[in-house]
Amino acid sequence: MDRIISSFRKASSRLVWAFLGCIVILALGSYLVGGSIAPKNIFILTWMFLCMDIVCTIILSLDGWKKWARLPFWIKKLIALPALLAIAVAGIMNLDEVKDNYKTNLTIVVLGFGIAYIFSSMILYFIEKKQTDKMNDALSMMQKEIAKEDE
Amino acid sequence: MNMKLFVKEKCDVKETEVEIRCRTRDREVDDLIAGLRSATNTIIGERENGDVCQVPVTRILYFEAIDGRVFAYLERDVIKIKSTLYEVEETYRHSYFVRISKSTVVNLRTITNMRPEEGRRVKLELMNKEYLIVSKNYVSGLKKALGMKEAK
Repeated sequence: MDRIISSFRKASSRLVWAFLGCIVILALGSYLVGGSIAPKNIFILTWMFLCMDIVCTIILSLDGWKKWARLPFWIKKLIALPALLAIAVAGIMNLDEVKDNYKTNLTIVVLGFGIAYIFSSMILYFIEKKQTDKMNDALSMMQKEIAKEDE
Repeated sequence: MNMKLFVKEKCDVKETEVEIRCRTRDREVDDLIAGLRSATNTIIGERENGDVCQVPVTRILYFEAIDGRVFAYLERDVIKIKSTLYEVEETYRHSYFVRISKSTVVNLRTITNMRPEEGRRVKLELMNKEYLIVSKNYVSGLKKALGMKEAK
């Protein structure tokens, strides 16, 4: 239970900034077109981020599960991201402020961002893996020396 | 065993040294060496039920500070110790213990694998299949402890 609570706090502290950013962007967009933010949109955004918060809490809580913890971080993202993107796309589709032709473009941008994010994470993982492989080699050499010392 | 004991204090000595002068290295001298080794390589702690125990430092997987108290984690046991994490880090630096985060000091002997983790951190797998995360600020310290490079 403690793990779920700490995961929820961690997820919320990150998502609250994204939520506020979305409100500001929406307000700025409405101001530029001379309108106002419809209460329905605030409601949709709130639900959208609440759903994301739940997904993120579940993902962070899974770190206590050894099989999940063993997975490389880019695979974890690959598993989690479709759920987050689906929530984001569903939210965007229901926003009143965004015109119909922009909705498709926004969805493409969100999906493009998701794919680019996964690829960059994958590349970063394999770059950093080279470094940890060297560390593993140094560790095994050290452990052999320690074993000799102990003898 | 007839034995003379001398204690000399010297300001220029960086680390306490013990020299044994003997005619031959017999069983008694070996027992003395074993006694000295166990005195420096064991730690006294308290179990959850209040039992006081003494464990060899090599059996400790890692030390963790939680709410101002320091715990030593063994393969199937956890003991509370009286030292601070800083004292633990300084005392057991030469016994292959290294700081990996603000609250954790790990035994290098017990690490089985290292993998990259998000945010330039490193994930350590220990011999009991437990995972620990090395904070990005402590990765260079870990590399230095492994003899890889000088920390910045």
